Amino acid sequence: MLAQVKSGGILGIDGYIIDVEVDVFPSLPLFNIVGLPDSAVKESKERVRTAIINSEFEFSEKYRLTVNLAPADVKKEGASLDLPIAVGILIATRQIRVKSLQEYVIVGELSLDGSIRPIKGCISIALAASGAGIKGMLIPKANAQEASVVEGIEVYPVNTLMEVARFLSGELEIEQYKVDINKIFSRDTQDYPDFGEVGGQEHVKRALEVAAAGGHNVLMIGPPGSGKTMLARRVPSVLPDFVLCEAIEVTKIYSIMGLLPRGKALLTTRPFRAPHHTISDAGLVGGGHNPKPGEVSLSHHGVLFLDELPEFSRKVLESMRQPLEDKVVTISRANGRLSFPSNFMLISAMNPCPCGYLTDSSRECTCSPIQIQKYLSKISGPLLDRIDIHIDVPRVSYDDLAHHHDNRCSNDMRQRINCARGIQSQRFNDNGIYTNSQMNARHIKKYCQINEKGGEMLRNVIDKLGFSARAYDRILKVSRTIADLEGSPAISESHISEAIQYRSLDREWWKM
Amino acid sequence: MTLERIKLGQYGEEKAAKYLLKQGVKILEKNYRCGYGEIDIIAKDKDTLVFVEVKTRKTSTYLSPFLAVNKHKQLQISKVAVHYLLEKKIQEMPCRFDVMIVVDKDIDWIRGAFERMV
Repeated sequence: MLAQVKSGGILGIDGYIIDVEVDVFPSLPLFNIVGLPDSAVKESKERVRTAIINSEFEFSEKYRLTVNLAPADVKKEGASLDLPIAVGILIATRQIRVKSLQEYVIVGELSLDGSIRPIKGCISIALAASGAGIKGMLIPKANAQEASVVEGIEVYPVNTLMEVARFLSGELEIEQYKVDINKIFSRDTQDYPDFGEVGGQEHVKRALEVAAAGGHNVLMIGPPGSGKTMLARRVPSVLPDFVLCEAIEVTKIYSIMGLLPRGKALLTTRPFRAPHHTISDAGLVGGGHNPKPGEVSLSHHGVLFLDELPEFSRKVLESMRQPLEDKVVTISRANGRLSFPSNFMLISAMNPCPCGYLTDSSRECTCSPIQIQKYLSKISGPLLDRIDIHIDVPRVSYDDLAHHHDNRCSNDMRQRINCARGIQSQRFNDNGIYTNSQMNARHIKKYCQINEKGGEMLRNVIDKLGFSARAYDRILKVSRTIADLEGSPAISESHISEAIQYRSLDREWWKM
Repeated sequence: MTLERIKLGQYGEEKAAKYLLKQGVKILEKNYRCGYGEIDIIAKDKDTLVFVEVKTRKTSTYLSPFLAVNKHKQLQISKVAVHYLLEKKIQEMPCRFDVMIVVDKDIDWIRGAFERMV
């Protein structure tokens, strides 16, 4: 007899529906899985066999069992197909009788005693199932929360193979798992450190405010101990509220990597990733034989903080150029191409020279010009061009440290940033982008009109300081954000001049 | 193979066959041979066709004689079984591979010991 069970798999970060077909034929005993299974799927034979026997069913040794996983030309990964294969065998050998199997997607990894273990990427499969018009899902209990976020699909959490069999044959009622999205989505900023705790550095805070408002990339240059890391860690506290569709996108990535915290349905706070500088290029942008997302994708819709930027290997930094520009990483391998979203805000920090004290007024720098040149040259021009805002972080004076009053705290900043983002989302309503930093050439022409005076100022700057064409675009984008922060529809000279400041800084260093 | 070992094997196969008969299993063939090799006993257990490999030992050893039915032996038995099904024109019939272990007077019957290799 032939049985068909619907299940799901993951390709990149998206789910797709797999049809598990099980055929039983009385002949010399054989248990075969076809349809490009990887080794974890092939090994499911042993788990399925043992789990069926230990769930007080019979695993008959006198049939030829053929399991087909359709579509047959996509490589199937992971252990999530254990449960649908086991269910298919039970139906094909007539041990359970079911009426309407096509209405359910079944996923889960089996343990030898017949209980069901959680799987990775459950939310992606739930999204695919909902898109395919499937009514319900039987999923491991530990995954119930994340899957129940998806609208338009009923989620039934299950614990054991026996439970699944009894549910499908109508002997057992399982309560549908429901979750209140608004409740889990009430954001609390309490866990983030606040900008008010940082003494001085008001201009850096301002630059970070502009950066957060427009989603611009930032490079902070300053001596050790000036507060670069401290400031970067406080950026998530001012990022605009997470909206549901963004949260689902990010949760998908975390779910596939198995990084979703237990008992959490959705990531409700924007990710902040700070990888160590020994990271490999595959670790940063994603890769591997079966490509997995890297840090740039894990910081999707959030912040990627690279501390000590010149310490990263050149190859790693250069590999980041394409995701910075396209906001998506495309990984091509012999067995296919995959795209991972990587719309992150890059915040990087570095010292101005190897010893770190070049810009420090109170300490002598011990580096030779050649050493400094070598240190700075680790960051290539093209990469630098992709960073919209470069900001000098000087040493903090005693007065600032001791008598700082919270004149720029996270809450106020976040309100202004939320306003500016509101303006942007209205402006880009039908353009498919969210922030000023994502504007392409056409958008810049349309939305970054400057007046004559501003144009004159820009021409002077570009001709005299030797800015590249890309730098010109960046200045326009940043000045658009500064205008948005003020709520001004037009870009004035003051906005442009502030934007130029955020670029001219690095030119001094790199021209030495 | 010495005469002694052949005799021991025959003793085990006799004993296993008797045991199966007592269990209500119908013996169809003994020492079925073809170009691929030999199957000790082919029997019918209710609706299931059973291919039995008998392993005999004089004394109990540390390693189970079951281990002697290795991948190579399983492949050989599978081939003979397929040959048998073709020869008898049997198409749709539940089948099983069993191993019987005879140690002195004890008999161990392992049903569904392995699956086909070809």
